[in-house]
Amino acid sequence: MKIVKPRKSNKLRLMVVFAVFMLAFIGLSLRLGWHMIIRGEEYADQATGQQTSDTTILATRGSIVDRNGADLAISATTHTIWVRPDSVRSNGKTDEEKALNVQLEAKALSDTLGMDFDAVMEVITSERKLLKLAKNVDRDTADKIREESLAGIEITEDAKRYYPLGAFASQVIGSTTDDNNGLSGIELKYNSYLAGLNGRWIKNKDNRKNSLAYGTDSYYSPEDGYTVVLTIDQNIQYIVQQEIAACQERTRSARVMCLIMDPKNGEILASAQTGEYDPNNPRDPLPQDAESFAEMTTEEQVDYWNKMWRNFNICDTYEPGSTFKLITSSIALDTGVTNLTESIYCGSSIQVYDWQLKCWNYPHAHGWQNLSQAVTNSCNVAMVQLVQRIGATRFWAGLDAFGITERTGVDYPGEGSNILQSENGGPVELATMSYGQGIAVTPVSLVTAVSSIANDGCVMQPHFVKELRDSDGNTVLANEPVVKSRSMSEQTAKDMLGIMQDYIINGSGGRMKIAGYNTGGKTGTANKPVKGGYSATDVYGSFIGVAPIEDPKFVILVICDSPRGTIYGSTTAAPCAVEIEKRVLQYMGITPQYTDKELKALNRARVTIPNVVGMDGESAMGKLSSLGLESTLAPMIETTAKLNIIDQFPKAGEEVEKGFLVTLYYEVEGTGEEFEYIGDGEEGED
Amino acid sequence: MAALVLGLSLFGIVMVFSASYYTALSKYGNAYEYLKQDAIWMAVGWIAFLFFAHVDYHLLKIVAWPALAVGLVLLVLLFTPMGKTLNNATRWLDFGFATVMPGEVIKFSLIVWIATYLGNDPEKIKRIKDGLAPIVAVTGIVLVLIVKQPNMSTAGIIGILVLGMMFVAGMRLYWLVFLVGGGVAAFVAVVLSPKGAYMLQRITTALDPFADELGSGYQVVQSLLALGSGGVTGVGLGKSIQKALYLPEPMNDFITAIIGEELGLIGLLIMLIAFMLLIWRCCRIALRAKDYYGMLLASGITILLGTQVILNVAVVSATFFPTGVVLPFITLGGNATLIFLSLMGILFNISKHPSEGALS
Repeated sequence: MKIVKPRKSNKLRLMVVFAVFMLAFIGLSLRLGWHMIIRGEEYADQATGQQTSDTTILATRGSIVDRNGADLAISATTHTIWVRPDSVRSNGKTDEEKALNVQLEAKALSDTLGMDFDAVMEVITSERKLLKLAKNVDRDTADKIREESLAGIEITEDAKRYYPLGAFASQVIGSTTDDNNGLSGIELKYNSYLAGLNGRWIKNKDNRKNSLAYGTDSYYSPEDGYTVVLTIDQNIQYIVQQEIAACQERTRSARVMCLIMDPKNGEILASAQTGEYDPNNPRDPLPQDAESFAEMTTEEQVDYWNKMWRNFNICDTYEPGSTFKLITSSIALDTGVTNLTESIYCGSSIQVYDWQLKCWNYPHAHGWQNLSQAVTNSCNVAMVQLVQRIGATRFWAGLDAFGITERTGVDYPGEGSNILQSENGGPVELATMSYGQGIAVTPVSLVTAVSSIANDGCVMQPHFVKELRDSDGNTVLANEPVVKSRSMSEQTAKDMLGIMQDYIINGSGGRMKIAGYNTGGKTGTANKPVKGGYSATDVYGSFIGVAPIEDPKFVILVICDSPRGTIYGSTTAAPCAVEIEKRVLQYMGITPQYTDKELKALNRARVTIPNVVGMDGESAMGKLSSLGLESTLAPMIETTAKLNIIDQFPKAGEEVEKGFLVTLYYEVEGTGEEFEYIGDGEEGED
Repeated sequence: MAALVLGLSLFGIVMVFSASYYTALSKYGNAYEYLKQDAIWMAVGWIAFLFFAHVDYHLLKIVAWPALAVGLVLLVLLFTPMGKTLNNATRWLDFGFATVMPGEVIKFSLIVWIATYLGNDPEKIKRIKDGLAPIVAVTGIVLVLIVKQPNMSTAGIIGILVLGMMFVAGMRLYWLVFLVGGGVAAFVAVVLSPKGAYMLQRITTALDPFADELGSGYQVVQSLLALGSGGVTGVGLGKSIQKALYLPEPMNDFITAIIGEELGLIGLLIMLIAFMLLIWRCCRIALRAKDYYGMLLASGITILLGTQVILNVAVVSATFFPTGVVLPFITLGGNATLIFLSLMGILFNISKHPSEGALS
């Protein structure tokens, strides 16, 4: 076979082809280098952007607890169920299968979530991309849904604030917004500490958002918020809330407020006002206002909320009236313009410039009285004389020392400012200020000032928060007691405590005394301001007290806003404050020291329970009543006519205090029908 | 040469596995699905290599015409119900046991046929009637059938292959200019026809893939992101993230991008150098072929190999408009693997019959 040899030209041309290939290779290598080195970083960044998912891990909001660690606000995890209707609809191969799967899914969801089937159907077949199906779903339910692995269902976790005690200290604690930020109160003031720091989870994912088993995975764990430990004592707060509610009912006041502080360190032990709302649902009106609220305009509703959330004790001012005489007296004693023995004359009124300032009992006069008597008499004329001797400069310096001329700086948002007369005001203004007229103060500032009397003259920084703790329980910040200023000498403070005690012993016929304890106090009654003057009918009746005198544990202020019927501080606020003092002293475990007189009175008040079994209802109750005992029939029945008493509690012979409730068990005459005592009785309530 | 091919084949298997397992896992739930497919084709391909390496390449002359006939028939069969349409293109024939891409088969047929047709007479190519014209006619028919699929990349490669072979065979240069001009004109005509709209889009995409990042530029953008992530040294074998469903079918034409991401510029350059060496070896075999026919055959094989490698890298690096070009030996096994390994076998056989005068 003849071999046809390739020609040289063929080989040359082949070399040309090879050269072209080589040039292309070199060109492409440079091109690749351009992409991978020069533009590389830019591309890599863009790739990282699409390849990573950045998930926020919510930090748990810190709890708010009372001084003994009882939970007042906690965070619970809830779940939100989301639906992608597109994915729900496209689940299946044929149209029939898809339709069936949608039905099945709706059935499963409505069963698990306890929702209406049609409502679920409407959501999961919606035209929107992503919708919320249910929120605040608990973990068990969410887990069930997760297990069913339904198409187009996503579950997110979020934290919900929960206030286990409901309407309790709500104006102190405040509430949070839906996205867990402080809305009011301590929740707002300490939001940055409570909120914590959200974590992040950055990881590689594939194009369907599934995470990759390889690749980067950085987890920045969230820092949970701090626990805020309040100075509030849950038990004292409870006592206060119960008593002021009773007081509001009794005095028919618009509202009643109470603030209790430890004078030694400025810790607020209780702060309450009637009309506590439930911070779990901070936008729900109070039950009694539900109807009128529904008719309000949006603006009115906002005003209503703000008023409901507002802590009167901190944010609002009121007219302190005669309670302010404690301040004037302190300054008078401390500046030495008078002493405990000097007699001051009250002739029922006093002329200041062209004004005749009348004492409260004008035209009656208090006559000659020492300082203590003047305070007990609540004598305006005496106070005017004292302030005239003190002079404006020293009086204002005194008010400065009490911390009354500025805000206290309490750790609570929106503290109000005291409304005082102008510092350059005339003598009339100065004179009226001396007995607490024409000025308005915040409850917290008055309590802080008066507390200094109970703390050797040291004005303490009032505060709500005792300390902050991290999630491991370590204290990260403690509010140590801070002395803001000295309002008076130790001796003056001691003298003033004596004057406050005298008031309790001698004022209002001694009705404010508590058997076994020495307490001090002062009442006040002042007309509420209205536009252009003062109301003729509405007053603030208030009482400020300290207990016990020997070693003051707390200072209490009770304010009745616009009481009806009897309106005086001594008849409205004082009885309530006395009840609170009694219970708080007992709760604090302070042993009563009865005087002989008190013991006798106590013994007189004790009776031995007689036997009433076998008597008919009417005569049994009559007999108990004659001994000063209360009685009740169990079960409750309208008539007592045809009843035979068959048993009683306590049994005859037991010694109890007067007013004790005796429970009587009976049968209805003629029927032989017995009623057995079932359930917890009303026995023992005194 | 065989060692280079073997090396590239093994490298290809590794890279196919690395690039495909995520897709395989998410599609079939079995990470080894594509690896298996690749290994089978590779095995078949190497059997073919050994077969052709041991069969005297002159015997191929006998099958040249039948091979061309089979290639054409297969192309025509695409227009029968046997043709499988995927992504708006009918490129596959389903024979049940395997799918056949007539576009790949015809490359083999054309190389053998042209070499055979011109192989006996170096002057033939310089004539028109019984030289150039039949080749242009056959190629024209083939191109029309392929463009109809449509499959522009295969058409382009075949065009370059035939022109290259004729150039090496000794075609007059002004005819070459004329044919290239005709080819370009035909290409422009196709592109500007209503059916060519998607081609036009692909061309603009090549110029600026980021202009339509989520649309026609998506694949190229993802390819560039993969290359950029790889940088100089790469993220490491198996650690590509772009293959996690970002880059569609990462084990196919865009496997080069994954190689770049995992092994970096260095890895890619080593691979390109290997290809360059292989092409140089192929050229040498062509230069040393003992006869004109052998030289043409070897040249055709070399041109096909070189063109495919260059076009593949050009597409991945956004230098050429995105079109599916297989990277020989590396891309997931299929018809192309079998064809290329067969061609390498033929080349190997040619190298065993060097011209007497050649230095070795």
